[in-house]
Amino acid sequence: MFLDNQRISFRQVYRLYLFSLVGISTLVIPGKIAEKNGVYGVISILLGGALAFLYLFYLKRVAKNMETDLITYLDRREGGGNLLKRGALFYLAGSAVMTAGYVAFVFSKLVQKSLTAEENYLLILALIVLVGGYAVVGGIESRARVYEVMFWFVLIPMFLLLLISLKGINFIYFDFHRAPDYGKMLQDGYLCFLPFQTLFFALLLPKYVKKDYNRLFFSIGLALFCGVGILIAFFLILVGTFGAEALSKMEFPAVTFLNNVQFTGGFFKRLDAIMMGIWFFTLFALMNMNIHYGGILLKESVKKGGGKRYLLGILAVVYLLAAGLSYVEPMQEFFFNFFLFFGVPMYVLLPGIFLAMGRKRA
Amino acid sequence: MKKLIRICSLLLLLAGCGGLCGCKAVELEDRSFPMMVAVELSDMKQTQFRYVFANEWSDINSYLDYNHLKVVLIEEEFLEDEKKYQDFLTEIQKEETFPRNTYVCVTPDADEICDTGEALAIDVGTYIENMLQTKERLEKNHLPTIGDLLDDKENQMRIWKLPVLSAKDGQIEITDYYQIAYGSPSALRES
Repeated sequence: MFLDNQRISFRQVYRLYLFSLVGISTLVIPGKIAEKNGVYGVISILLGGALAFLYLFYLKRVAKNMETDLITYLDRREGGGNLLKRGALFYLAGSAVMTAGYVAFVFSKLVQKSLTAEENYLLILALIVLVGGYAVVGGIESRARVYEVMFWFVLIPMFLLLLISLKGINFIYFDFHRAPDYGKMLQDGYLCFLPFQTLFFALLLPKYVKKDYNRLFFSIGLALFCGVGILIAFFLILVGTFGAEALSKMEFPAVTFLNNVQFTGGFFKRLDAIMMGIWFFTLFALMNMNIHYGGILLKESVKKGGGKRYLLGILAVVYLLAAGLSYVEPMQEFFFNFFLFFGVPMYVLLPGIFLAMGRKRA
Repeated sequence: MKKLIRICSLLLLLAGCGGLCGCKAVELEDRSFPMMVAVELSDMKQTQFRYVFANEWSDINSYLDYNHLKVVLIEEEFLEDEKKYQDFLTEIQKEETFPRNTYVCVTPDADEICDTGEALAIDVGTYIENMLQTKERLEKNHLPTIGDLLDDKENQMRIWKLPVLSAKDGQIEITDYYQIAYGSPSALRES
């Protein structure tokens, strides 16, 4: 029988994080940053990556100062009654649930678009949310184990895909003569930072790993480094395959890309369906991470016990949000603006505020 | 025991959802598979499609499944109206009607190609696809597809040469190439 002590190794942290960072970034970011600056979008990715590294260093300092995970730290310092603390935790839980809803929406659309075009969106979504809920009930350890095993099964096809697609690149599309729009480049840099917001959950991880902050943050940093590298590789290949303008008009360029790649040889002919698994697993990991930590934060902010009932509530909200995102189009823009102006800035500010609050009380 | 009940109820729930998955599917016998679509202008100068199917019992009133589409054949007269061409591309981009890897050819007379195809042992779409693939293999070049035209509609950076097909003595052959330059039909031909 497997151990079930809700502890995970640093290697599992690295794999869990790499999955969470790669999925949504490679799906959503390339199309959004290609329009104005074409191949110079790479600079925006580097900027976003640099911001994410700064953020990670900041989180590391906060975690080291807290000497434990965020929840335990707040409990020790604040007790349960502080309204401000509970409000902030509730807000963070809301952000995590919104992210989970958005990821569930992208995931379901992706399944519908690439595999079951005529299937009902709500049914696909229901299945995804249910399976997600099941994975979260299984606990972080069993999820980490699954991702650890699946890691190379997902990454090898990904590298193979990138390798095969190199021959489809047309250098004319790189268009280095294009004059970059520096203002947009900076904005896009911030946009590239958005998918890395899950780094915040590093503050909740110390509960599940050995108490060695250097190794913990090194594992996450390594995942971030590889995640940025994969995003850059994908972006360049997508620009080289489709051209910047065409890329910016695509909903999920990665899916179109998979249909475009010429797999030679009989064995590889239907590899595109398997390669969709890259995004299925990575999006699933990100959704579960947000549901899991959203549940923990919500439980802590409400402080009323209730066990797994929180999870049911969260799954219901995730389902409704993802359904809304599909049927009420302005919601997509609202979500995007929320993450841009409120979600991410709060993820950045709140750890410092919590630390300052705790110190003041102490 | 509690765990067993939980797992069983979850499996039941998933099986229940799974059971619903077939409800919306269109059965194979209710689908028609166009192998070639000819894009032409009607007598009223409107865009119209003519379909060539894999089987003679297929018809346009059943569910059209474009997953096996091999060739989109555009009539030259249609390309003379650039707005119509751009609208056609915008529509298929929005609806994602045709697979991106479908070959695109031009012809002075689409009906002639379709009619010639009726005498062939295989459907005309597959016949033309085989012809184009052989040409690609022998000449080691890439012939334009719907995806290429859709991309260049936005990028406007490349010149694509669409094979021009004609029927002669019951045979379909490539006579020359029609240029789509920087996203627009140029009306230029080259051999």
